[in-house]
This record gives sequence, structure tokens and C-alpha cells, in this order.
Amino acid sequence: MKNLVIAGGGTAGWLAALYMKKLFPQSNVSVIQNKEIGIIGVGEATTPKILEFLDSLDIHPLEIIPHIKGAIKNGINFENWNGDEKRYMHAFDDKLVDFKIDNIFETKCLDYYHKLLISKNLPFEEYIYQTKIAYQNKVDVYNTDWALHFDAAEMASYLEKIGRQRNISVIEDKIIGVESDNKNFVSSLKLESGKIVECDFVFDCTGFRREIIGKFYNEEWISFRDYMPMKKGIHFWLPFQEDVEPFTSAIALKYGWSWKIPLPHRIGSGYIYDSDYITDAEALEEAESFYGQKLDVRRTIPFDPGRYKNLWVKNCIALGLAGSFLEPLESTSIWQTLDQLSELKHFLNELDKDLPRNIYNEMIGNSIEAKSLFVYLHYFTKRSDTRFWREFREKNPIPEKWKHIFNNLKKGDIRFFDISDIKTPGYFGITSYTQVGYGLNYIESINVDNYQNITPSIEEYKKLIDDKCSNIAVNHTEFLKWLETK
Amino acid sequence: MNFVIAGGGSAGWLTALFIKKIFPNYSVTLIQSTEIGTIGVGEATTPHLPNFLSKLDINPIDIIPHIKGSIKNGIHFENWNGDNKGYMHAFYDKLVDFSIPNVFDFNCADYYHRELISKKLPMDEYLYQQKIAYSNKVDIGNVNWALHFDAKEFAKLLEKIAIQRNIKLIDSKIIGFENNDKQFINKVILENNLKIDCDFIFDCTGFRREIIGKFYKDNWKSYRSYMPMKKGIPFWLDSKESLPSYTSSIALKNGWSWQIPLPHRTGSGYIFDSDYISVDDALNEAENFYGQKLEIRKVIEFDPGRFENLWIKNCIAIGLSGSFLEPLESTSIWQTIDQLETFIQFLNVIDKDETKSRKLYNEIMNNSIDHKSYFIYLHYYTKRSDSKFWKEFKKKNPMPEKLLELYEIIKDGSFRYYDILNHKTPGTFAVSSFTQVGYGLDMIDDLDNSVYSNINPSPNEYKNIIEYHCNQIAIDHRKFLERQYENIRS
Repeated sequence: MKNLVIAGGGTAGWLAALYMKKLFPQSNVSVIQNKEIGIIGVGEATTPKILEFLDSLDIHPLEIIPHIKGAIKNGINFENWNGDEKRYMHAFDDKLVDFKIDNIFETKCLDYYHKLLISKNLPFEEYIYQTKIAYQNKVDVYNTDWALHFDAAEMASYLEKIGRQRNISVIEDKIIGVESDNKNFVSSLKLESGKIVECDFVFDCTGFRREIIGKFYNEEWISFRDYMPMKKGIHFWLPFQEDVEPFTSAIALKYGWSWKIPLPHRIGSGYIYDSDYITDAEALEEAESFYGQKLDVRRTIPFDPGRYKNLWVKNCIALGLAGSFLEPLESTSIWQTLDQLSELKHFLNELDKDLPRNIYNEMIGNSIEAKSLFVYLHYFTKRSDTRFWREFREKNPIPEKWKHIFNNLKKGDIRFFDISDIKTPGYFGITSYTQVGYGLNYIESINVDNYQNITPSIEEYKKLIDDKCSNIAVNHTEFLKWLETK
Repeated sequence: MNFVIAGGGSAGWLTALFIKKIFPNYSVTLIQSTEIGTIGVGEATTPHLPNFLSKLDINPIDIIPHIKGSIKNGIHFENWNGDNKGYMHAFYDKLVDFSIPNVFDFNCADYYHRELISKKLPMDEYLYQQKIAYSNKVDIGNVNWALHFDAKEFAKLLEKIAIQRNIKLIDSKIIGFENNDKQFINKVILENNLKIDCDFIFDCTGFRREIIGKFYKDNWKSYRSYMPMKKGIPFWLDSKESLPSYTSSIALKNGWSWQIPLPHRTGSGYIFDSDYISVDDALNEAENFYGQKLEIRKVIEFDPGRFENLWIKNCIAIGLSGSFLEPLESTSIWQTIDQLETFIQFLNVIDKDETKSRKLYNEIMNNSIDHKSYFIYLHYYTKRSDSKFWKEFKKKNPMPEKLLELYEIIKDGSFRYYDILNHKTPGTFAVSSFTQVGYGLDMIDDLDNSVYSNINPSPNEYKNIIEYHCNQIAIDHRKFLERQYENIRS
């Protein structure tokens, strides 16, 4: 591998560049980016996968927070999805204790703990550490899995700075053509300046423009439109709040939902909706009336949720928005990029060979669909205040292959067999399903017979988290200020 | 709840101890008939057994003298390509954790294997566990090992422990069952017409399959279309002075012969395709091969396969009663353990008439057994052609559909864990098993591992490490056993 080329310099592009440079320190790694086109930068909320990935790139996730105008995320707060003004949290898993069930399972019984709480109808925000600290605007980066909120433009330029230090070439230009060899491998990219960039392997990180996977290879797009309801988003900012919330919020509105990503200097926000029911102007009006202020729409983004059938074609892999897009509800976009890069490690011996990419593509396809299943679940609410919510289940029916999962969840009998598979990297775990299923009141009954004997017990654990919440977890805003001084 | 275990072989006693551990307050009753006895061919195991025993608070090393046991590092395959050569399928050692700098931080043993294959290096020199095995040594601290034992002694010891743990033992034949309106068995009828209450029952009755077969009449799914072995004759050989620390499996003209070295004797036998050879001729061939008269202990006839549903109503079939392949890869007790360990995901439905969960359990167990059968089948894909059996093997026993794709990947060496692992297939043979057998049988074509060749430690560095350990740390197998036996005497 002499020349590795990354087309596009957004978050996906730069993460790919740094990663490939690490794997192939002797190869030329180049990023072609165009400041004029800019980046779409909606991926401002992430999942804990970003931490281990940055770590593997020798980038310390806590240290970079001040540079990327970042903040800590403990999970996602869902508001009013059942139309009853209530909220629930989908928090990441904490690491305070390792639950076990005596004589049965020696480790990893957090999901049984959740099921037990549900069977006793106990509130998660009192009995789950990360949910509890999140709602008190606190963080505990040592005892929890956390993620980052950041300003995407700052993130890209910070990664670019590191990339340059690590001898990644940055080409400021625009791709105007793709040349291929007799095997239809991309051999070079033609740029606006007349320059030609040779390439042995290329990553299409060109966002929604999909320059190579779409425009050059014309790969088939698999749309999730049959079940994923959202079709458009308007993006705006809200003024910053003194006390920075350590979670993303997703607030259900009449035709979709509004996100809030709290950063120290502003709150990234927007309204994402089913444009079959309302116009952009109506959406803006609804958002303005909800937030009680005039909003300045930065961009309107129409999208078709889905993925390419093959994300790896010949010597090109599409990453980030170029390869797939669901919707931002569960911050899956950067996670998906990381899953694709991490899996690639197992296929390095095939990069330069003309082989079918079946297994990689099968796995990445599974990975995206498993994430879409979980996002789709969030819409199974009790809201019925608009046509959108009333018609949701009929208009967006459960795909046949997932019906049993919904049934099992409803009966409280979901097992890891139902949702996880070795060939599905990056799926949501049982504890994600229990939090959303319980939060939405979707779980009708739960049977935890014979799994009651959990250690620590519910009472012991509550004592522990009350203590940690008072004595160990710290105020988020103060923590961010402290990081600035470091 | 009242748990009943029908049958007291290895599977029955392991089940009883496991259930008692999970449900210390429930009654666990095992019914066995000393008149019937046990079949006891499962004398070689896999590392799952020592791990499982530890979970039952039974120390697998301490019990060795009680079960006339010995240590197994893997299986040695002899003459399968008809060239008098051998290869070993060893368990994973734990000496080092291989990494590939900048790519993988750990768990790269599979890539190490690939590196050896790409450089055509001999595994018996470059894999620790193979090297110590071929030196008749053991090093239980640094490898995953398994047990060889005398099956009757093993069952007896488990019985003793079980009685200490308040498992009830009834010595009787079972003559019938009563069921409720949902077809759940609620009473077991004994010889003297005594009735035992039962809320959940395990069918561990071996080839008699009293409940799964005779009572529930479930369908048998035979693997006969691709699994060639149909009969076996077990016999004993004298024990060897220098005691091998591995099972041997030697290809013969119409099947293969096993050797399980115990301190006091070598358990052995010939397993063959009875379409080609009679029992008498098989004995004749075995006697010629071993150069001595042999005394057949029994003739075992079998149809490799499994029931379609191992869990029916409130009954699960475990051990030989549920499935049987053949002894080539010592999968029988392993399968018992897989079934028990999967069962604990389903404890909330054991007293409910809940078909959905049983269906899932059965799907998982079926995958597990099917997968093991594919790996065994692979061993027969050899270059031998010295008899009608071997000449006709590939035609008469065509490769099962699901293995075809896998076989192509094994051949081109691009084999990854994705290709075999699946949460719904517990108890799969690992990548390293496929590479050892594939390489041993000369199945793997040229393999390009250049991108991953920066492995740490390198083959040469690792070779130094294993030579040191083999000379300084590993100890002679028989000496090791003598020490264990002395421990109980003193």
C-alpha cells in the first residue's frame, strides 16, 4: 500500500486518515478536502466507542475537550415521547460494579439488574448510577462509560492539526474526476487544480455528496424509508446555558423530535421531522414556538435513511455519511465510522486484492441495520396528538425479520441471542433495549423468575450510588472549567 | 421444584451437580439402574471439563487420582493422509499473548498460526503445547488442558460428591411416566411402582433415550449422509511406560483407532464404516495393526446425529441420549456442558409452557451440534486412497452444504473467526482448530500473511521461549501424575 487517499476532511475523513497512518506508518496518507464545500457537521454527539478509538490513536479524550469546545455525555434524555411530559434516560453503562447472580452467572449481569428493577417498577433515575448523576448535571469519568459532545468544525481542525504532525498530507482542492484501472480499481483522482493524486486505496468520506461510492461506482442504495420515518432536519443553535447538561436531549415534537447538544459556548439543536406531514416553514414555526424564541436555521437537510448495499467496492470504502445515514437520534454516525474502521483490521491482507468483499460488506450491512432497528424502536410510543404519531405504526410497519424482537421485548424476554451476533459489530446491547423499552412503557410484563438473587442487591447498589453521587461525581460545568486549566 | 435426572453416567451426574448448584433449595433426584450400567466411552474430554468442574467447586487436578485420570494436551492424528505422518490438534497455550503492533493489541494467536503456515514452519516446533505433548510432558499452568479418565471411576466420584451435596440417588429402572394435560411429565414410575414427583426432568439415559425417544418420540436427525462412521469396538491396550499426554487417533483402512493413555491402561478401540467391513474383519485389522490379540469389550452401533428438539415440554435430553457424533474430537461431554451452560439463560421459563424460548434453545443446541459435526467431517477430507472406504469417501459422503463455503476459505487461508462464531452456536471449534487440522492435512494453499507478519513475539522469538519452557518448566507426564497420586496417599 503506497498511497492511501482519503476523499473528504470531515470527522469521518480525519479519523480514517489518522487510523490508516497508524496501521501503515510507511505509506503515504493524503486527505483531500475543500474548505469551500465545508463539512456538514451534524455529528456532534457520540458514543463511548469514540473514547477507545481516540485512545488507540494515542489521542487522550479528556485532554482534547478544551480544544474541540467539547463536553461530556452520559447518555440521551428522551422527553415527552409518550406525550405525557415525562422523560427517561438511555444512559451508557456504568462501571461501578460487576453484577452477578450467585451460582448462575459470575459476571456481567447488568441486564438482569435492569430487568429486576423493571419487575419491581422502580425508577431508573434512582437506581442506575449514570442516569442519576446525569440528571444532577454531574459526571464521573472514571466510573462510567461516557462519550463526547463537541463542535464538529473544531474537532475536524484539531484532528487535522494532529494529522499534519503525523505526516499526513493535506490537499486543499476539489475532486473533479475518478480514474480507474482495468479491474475497475480507482487508480487516481483528478483535482480542480489539474493535479492528479495516485491512489492504491481510497476512502470515500465525502458526506452526502458520495463522490466515489455513489457517483463513480453507482453502488445500489438500500433505503430504510419503509420503516424509518424521519426525512428532513433543520439545524439551529440555542444560547448556551450556565449549567451545561452532561447528556444529549431528544424531545419529541408533533412530527418528529428536536435535539439539544449542550456545549460550553452554545447548544447545538435542530428539529428533525417527517416531511410528508409538514413543510420546512411549519417545522420552523413549531420549533420556534416550542423554544419560545426566533431561530436562525443554519441549514435544511433532506435525507433518505439507508445505506449502500456494499460499502466496500473494489479498492474503495465509504465511511460516515457517504456510506450510510440513519438519523441523529442515537448518535450512531461516528460510531458507525469507527465500527467500519475497526473491522477493517481483519481484512488488511485483502486491501490490494481483487476479491469479493462479501464478509466485510455483510457485517457492515448488519451493523447499520442493527442500529436502525434500535433507532426505530424509539418511535413505538403512546403519542397520538398528531396524524404523524397516530399513523406511525401503520405507515412504518415493523420489518418481518424484527417482529420477534419487538414481541420478546414487550414480554420482557429479550436475550442477547435476539439482538447480537458476531457478524454484527456495533449493536446496541440489552441494557439499551431495557432502558428504552421501560422508558416508553413498551414492556408489558417481565419474568425474572430464578434470577432474583443478584449481587449487589438493589438496596446495596442504591446505597452505593447515592454515596458515589454525593461524594465522587462532580458538577459537569466545573469539571469542564477544570479541564481548561490543565 | 423437583428436578429429576434419569440416568447416572457422566452426563447425568454433571447435570445433577450443576442443577443442585443453581437451585440449592430444590430437590434434585437422580435415578440410575446399576443393572443397566453406563456405556462409558467418553473418556477423553476438552478443556471445557476442567473449567466446568471448577465452577462446581470440584478441583480438576485433585480428582485425577480418584478417576484414574491423566492430562490431555490435544489430539495427535496419525497417517490420515496415508503418508505415515502425524499432526496435532492441540488446545491453546497461555504462554504469551501475541500482538501485532499498531493493528491488534492482543489475542493474535490465530495470526501467529497463519504466519507459521505462510512460512511453512512445523507446528510441533513452533507451538508450545504441541511441543510439550510430543515430549510426553505437561505444564498445566501455561496451557489449556483436558482430562483423560476412566468413565466408570469418574461417574463414581461424581456420585460420591453428589450424595454429600444432598442429591437424592435412587437405584431403580424407570418403567413409565405420567404427564399432565400439557404433556409435561409430572411423575416418574419406578420398578416397584413407586412414583417420584417431577417438575423438570433431564433425559440422560444414553442410547436408550427413554424420554426424548420413547416417551416423546421426537424425530431423529441423522448425519449419516456425511458422517461415515457407524460402528465401534472398544478394547484395552497395556499402558505405556512413557505416558503420552494426548489422545491419539490413527487412521486405518476403514476408519480410525483411538488411544486414550491412562496410567494403568490405554483405552482403545477401532471405529469404522460398517458398510465396508464386518466386526470380525475390523477386529482382525486392529489386531494386525497392534500386533496382539485384542479383547472386544462390546460392539457399539450408532447413527450419528441428534434429536430435532432436545428440549421438549419439561424435559431436556443431555449426553448420548440427545446427540452423538463419534469420539474423534471428544465432543460428547463438551456438548453436555454447552447444553447446561446455555440452559441457564432460560431459567425463567422452565416451569412454563412457553414454546418460544424452547424453540430458541433448540435452535441454539442444534447449531452447536451441527457445527461440531462439520469440524469432525473435515478430518476425513484427506489424501488417503488405499482402500475402497477412503477412495469413495468424498463421493459417498459429500460435504454438507454449510461446510462447502467454509472449506474454500480454509483452503485459501483467509479464515476468520467471523466465519465460524455465532452467539447462537455455542461451543464452536476455534479458528486455531481449523488451522491446525487444515495445515495438518495439507489442505491450505499458499497463504499470504505479509500485512500481518509483524507479529510479536516473532516465530523465532517464540521458539526460544517455548524451548526454554519445554526444558525448564514442563514436566514429564507420568512423573506429574505420580506426584498427584502420592498426594492422596499421604
